Amino acid sequence: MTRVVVALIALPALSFVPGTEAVEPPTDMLTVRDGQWTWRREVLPIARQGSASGEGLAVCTRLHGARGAWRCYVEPGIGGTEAGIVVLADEAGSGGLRLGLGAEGLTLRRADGKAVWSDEGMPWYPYQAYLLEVVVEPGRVRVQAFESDGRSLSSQSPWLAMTRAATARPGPLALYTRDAIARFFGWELAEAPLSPIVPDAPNKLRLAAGPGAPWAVVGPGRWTWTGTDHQRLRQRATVERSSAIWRETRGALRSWECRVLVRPGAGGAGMLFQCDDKAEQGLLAWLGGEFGNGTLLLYRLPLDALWGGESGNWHYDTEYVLRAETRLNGEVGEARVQLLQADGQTVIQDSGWVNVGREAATREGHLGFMTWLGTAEFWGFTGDTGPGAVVTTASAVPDLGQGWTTLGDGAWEWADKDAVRLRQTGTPQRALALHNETRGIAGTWRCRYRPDTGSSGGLVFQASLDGREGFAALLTPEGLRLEGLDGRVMWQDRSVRAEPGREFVLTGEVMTDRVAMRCYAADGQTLLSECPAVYVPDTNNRRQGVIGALCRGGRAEFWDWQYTP
Amino acid sequence: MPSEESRITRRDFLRTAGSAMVSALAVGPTLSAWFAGTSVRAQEPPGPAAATPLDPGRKVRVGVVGGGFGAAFQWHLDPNCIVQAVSDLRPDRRAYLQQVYRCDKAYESLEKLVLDPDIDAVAVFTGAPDHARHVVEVLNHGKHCICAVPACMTLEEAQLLKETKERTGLTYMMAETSYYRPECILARQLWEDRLFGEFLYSEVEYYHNLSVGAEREALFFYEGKPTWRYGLPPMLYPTHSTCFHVGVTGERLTKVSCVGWGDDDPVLKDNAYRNPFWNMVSLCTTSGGRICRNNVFWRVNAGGERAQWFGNKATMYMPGSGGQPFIVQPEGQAPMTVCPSYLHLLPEPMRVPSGHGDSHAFLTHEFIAALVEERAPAVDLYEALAMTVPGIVAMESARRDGEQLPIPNFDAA
Ligand SMILES: NC(=O)c1ccc[n+]([C@@H]2O[C@H](COP(=O)([O-])OP(=O)(O)OC[C@H]3O[C@@H](n4cnc5c(N)ncnc54)[C@H](O)[C@@H]3O)[C@@H](O)[C@H]2O)c1
Repeated sequence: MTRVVVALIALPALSFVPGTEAVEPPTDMLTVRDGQWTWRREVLPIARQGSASGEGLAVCTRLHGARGAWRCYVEPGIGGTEAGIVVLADEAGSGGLRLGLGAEGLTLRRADGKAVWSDEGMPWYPYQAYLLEVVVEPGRVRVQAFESDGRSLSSQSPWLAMTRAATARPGPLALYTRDAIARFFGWELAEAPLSPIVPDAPNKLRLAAGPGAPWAVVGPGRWTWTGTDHQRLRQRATVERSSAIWRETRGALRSWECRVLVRPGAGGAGMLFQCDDKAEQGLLAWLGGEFGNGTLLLYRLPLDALWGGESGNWHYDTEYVLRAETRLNGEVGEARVQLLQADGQTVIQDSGWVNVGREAATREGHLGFMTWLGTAEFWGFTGDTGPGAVVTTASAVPDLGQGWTTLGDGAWEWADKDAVRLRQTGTPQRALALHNETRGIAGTWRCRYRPDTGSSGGLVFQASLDGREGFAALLTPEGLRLEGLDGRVMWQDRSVRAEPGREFVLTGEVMTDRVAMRCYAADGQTLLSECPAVYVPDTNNRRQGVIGALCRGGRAEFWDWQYTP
Repeated sequence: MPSEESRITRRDFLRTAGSAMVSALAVGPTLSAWFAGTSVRAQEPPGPAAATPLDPGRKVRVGVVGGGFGAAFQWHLDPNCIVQAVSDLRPDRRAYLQQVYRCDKAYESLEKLVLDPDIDAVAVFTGAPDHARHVVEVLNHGKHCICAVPACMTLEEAQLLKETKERTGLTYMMAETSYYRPECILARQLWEDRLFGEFLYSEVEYYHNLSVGAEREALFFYEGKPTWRYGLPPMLYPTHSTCFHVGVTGERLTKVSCVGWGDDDPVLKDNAYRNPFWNMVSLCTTSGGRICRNNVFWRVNAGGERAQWFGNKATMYMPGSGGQPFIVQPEGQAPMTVCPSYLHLLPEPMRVPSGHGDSHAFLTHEFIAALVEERAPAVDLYEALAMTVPGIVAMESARRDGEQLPIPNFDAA
C-alpha cells in the first residue's frame, strides 16, 4: 500500500466554489478561438463556454489525428442553439465536420452549416451530459450519441460517404457552441468506436411521442419499436415507472386487449385503459407482485390497488394476453381484468367484476402501457378493440375479507371466527398478506408471530400493496433479520432464532431516513434483540405503506396488529 | 449590486486552475492522457471515456468512525480508497461497520484509531457536539479528515478548527449532503450561467419531524439516557439548508435575525443546550447584498431538505414533501421539469443509488479525489464554517428575541 503524500499546500479557499470569471484555460489543454471558456470543477474538471450568444470554439491542441473514434461528453445549457465537437478541422479548428446537440436534435454538419445527417427526435435534456462520437475511416464517417453512462446508445447514423482527402488530413479535435452555453469533458480519440452499427439503433425505432404526436410518454423510460414494422413496442430502460399512451385510441365501457412479455429483472408491467395522456387517471391491468412469479392486479390511477390475485401466475420471458373490460352495473361502474395464456383462450387469472367507481368506468380514455423497474414488450393491440370480450372461466380467489389482500403462494385462513388471528397453512416460497386499511409512513409497526416447524416469517411494514416495496422484520431458523421486500438483507442477528410454537412480538420502526426492528418475547417487554437504525434513501418517506405478514417454508400464525404513527 | 462572479479574481482563477492542472499532470500518465488527450488509446478495448482521471495506483487509507450514519457511505467502492479500520464505542455498530466496509481491523474508539500509522484520513461520523473535538484530534495526529455536519457548535470551536486546519495544512471536508443533491448541483450551474438574471432571494429549509412518535424515542434516547439530539437547537444544525445558498452562490451570510417556536414539551425544559425551541426561522443578508430565509423545524408535518431560488429572470423550485414538483422556470423558455443526473461524474463502481439524493457517493469520492489530486475539496473548512456559523449566531439572535446580529467570517486571511 502506498501512503499518499499530500503536500501541505493550502490551495486558495475559493478554488472549488462555483462561478468563475471568463479566463482562458491553460493553452496546453485548450486553445480558445471564440467565446468565454473557463474551467470549473464538479468532482471532475470541466470546460465551460459561458457566452450565450455567438460562436464558441476551443481547440484541444494535443489531441491530433484523422482516423479513429473522436468523442467527448457534451452538456448543453438551456435554450441554446447547438453545442458539440468538430473533427477533421484545420489547426485553427476551422472547416471539418461538426456533430452537435441542440434545437434540431443531433446533427452532423459541414463547416458551412449544411446538415449531412440528423436525428431530430433524439430526446435530450438541458444540463444532462451526452457522449457524442464521430467515427472516421478513409472515405467515410459515421456518428453516434450515448446517454451519460457512456454505454446506452441514443442515436446512430449509417456510414456517410466523404472524399478520401477530407478524411485523410490529420487535425485536432475542437469543441464548439452556437448561441449556447455548454460544458465539455472526457474528450479523447480512441481506436475503436463505443458501438458498432446496430440494426436497432434507437433513432430507427423511436416512438413518435411528444406534443401533437400519436403517443405520449410519461416518465423516464425509453420506448421503442422492436422492428421497423412498428408492431411491437418495448420499454428498454431499467427505470422507475414509465408509461406510453396511445393518444389515437379513445373509449369507455368497452374491452381492451394486448399481448405482453416481461423481461427478466423487471418489477412489473401492464396495460393502461381509459387513461388520460399523463397517466394520472384511468385503470391499469398490472402484472405485479413477486418479481417474475407474480399476480395480475387491478389498479385505479393514481396507483390505488383494487384487486390482486395469487402469486405464481406470470413469469419472465413468457407471452400472455391481458384483457380488460369496463361496464356499468346499474349505477355501479365496474371493471374486470384477465390474464390469459398466449392462445388467448385459457384464462389464468380473472378479477371478476370489481367496483371501480362510476367515474373511472365511464371516463373516456386511451390505451397505454406501463413498466416498472425494467423492460417489457407489448404488441397485438389495436385501436378499435370492441366491446364484448367473452369471459369464460375464472379461477377462484380465496378472499380473507376484512381489508386483507394476499400475494404469493401461501394458503391463508382465519384461525378464529372473529378474524383476529391470521394463519398460513401451506409451505410457500413467499406468502404475503397485507392489510389495506392499516396505512402509514413513519411510526412503529407491530404484530405477534408464532412460527411452526421450518417456517420463516414475521412482520411486514410500510409495504406497497403489490408487495414490492417496504420492509420485513423476520424470524428464521437461522436468525433474526431485517429485510427489504426486494429481498435485500439489511441487518441480521443469528443469536435469536425462530422456535416452533414459541410466540414473539416483532416491531418495525420507520423514521425519516432510516428503519429499525426489534424482537421481544411473548410478554412484549423482554427485548430479545434490536438492530441499529439502518439508513434508507429518504425517498422512502414518500410511500404510504401498509402492515402485513410474510411467511416462507411452513405454517405460522400472526395477530395483534398495531401501527402507531 | 455586485455581479455573481465578481468575488473571484482572475488571479484566483489562474492560481486555482494552475495548481489543479499542475497537480493533475503530476499524478501520472492516465490523467494527462485523459485530460490533454495526447494519444490514441490503441491498446485499450472499447469502453466509455474515462469518467475519472485518477491514477488507480494511488490509494487513500481511511478509518471510519461512527456506525450509524457513518455506515451509509461508499468508501469500499471508491477505486482510490482502502478502508483500513473502523471504530465505534458500541460493539454492535463496530461490527456493523466491519460488515458494511468489509474491514478486518476495528478500534474501540476514535482516540485509538487515530494512533494507527497506516491511516491517512479519518471519516468522523460521531454525534454533532463531538465534531470539533474529534476533528481536532484527527488533524493533530497528522491525518486528513472528513466529518459529518455540522462543523461545530460554538464560535470558539469554529476558531479552533480554523487554527488547527491552518496550522497542520491538512485537508478537512464537511460531508454536507445537500451540496451534492442533483438539484443543488444544477442550481450551481444555473447560477454560474446567470440564468437567474439578477439573483434576489433564496428560501432554504430543513424539516425533520423528530419530536414525535417512534422517531422521538429512537433519536432522543439510547439505553434510557438522552442522546445528543435530545433538545438539539434547530439552528445548531443549519447546514443542510444554508448549503443551498452558500454552496450555490459561494456567498457568505453576513447578518441574521432569528425567531423560534417551542411549547411545554419536557424536552424543551431540561435539555443540555437550554434550548426552548422546536422550530426556528432566520432571515439573513448575504455578502452579495441578497436575502436568504432559512427554516429549520423539528416539529412539523413535513420532511426533507429543500430550497427555492428566485431571480428576476428565472426561478427554481426543488421538489418537496408537500408534493411540490421540481421545476425551473426561465423567462422566455419552456420550463425545465427533469432534473439531470450527475452520476456519470463518479467512477463507475460508485454510480449507485445512495441516501440524501444520491449525495453520499459524491461526498465519498470528492474527499478521496481531493486527497489524491492534492487540492482543496468542495465544502472545505471555510465553506463548512460559512454554512455552520450563521446558525450559531442565529441561535443567539433567537435568544435575544430576534435581534439582528453580524455573522463573523472565518475565511482564509
Ligand atoms: N444528511 C446528513 O448529512 C446526516 C444525516 C444523519 C446524520 N448526520 C450526522 O452524522 C453524525 C452521526 O449521526 P448518527 O445518526 O449516526 O448519530 P449517532 O449518535 O447515532 O451515532 C454516532 C456514533 O458515534 C459513536 N462515537 C461517538 N464517539 C466516539 C468515539 N470517540 N469513538 C468511536 N465512536 C464514537 C457512537 O458510539 C455512535 O454510535 C451526526 O453528526 C449527524 O449530525 C448527517
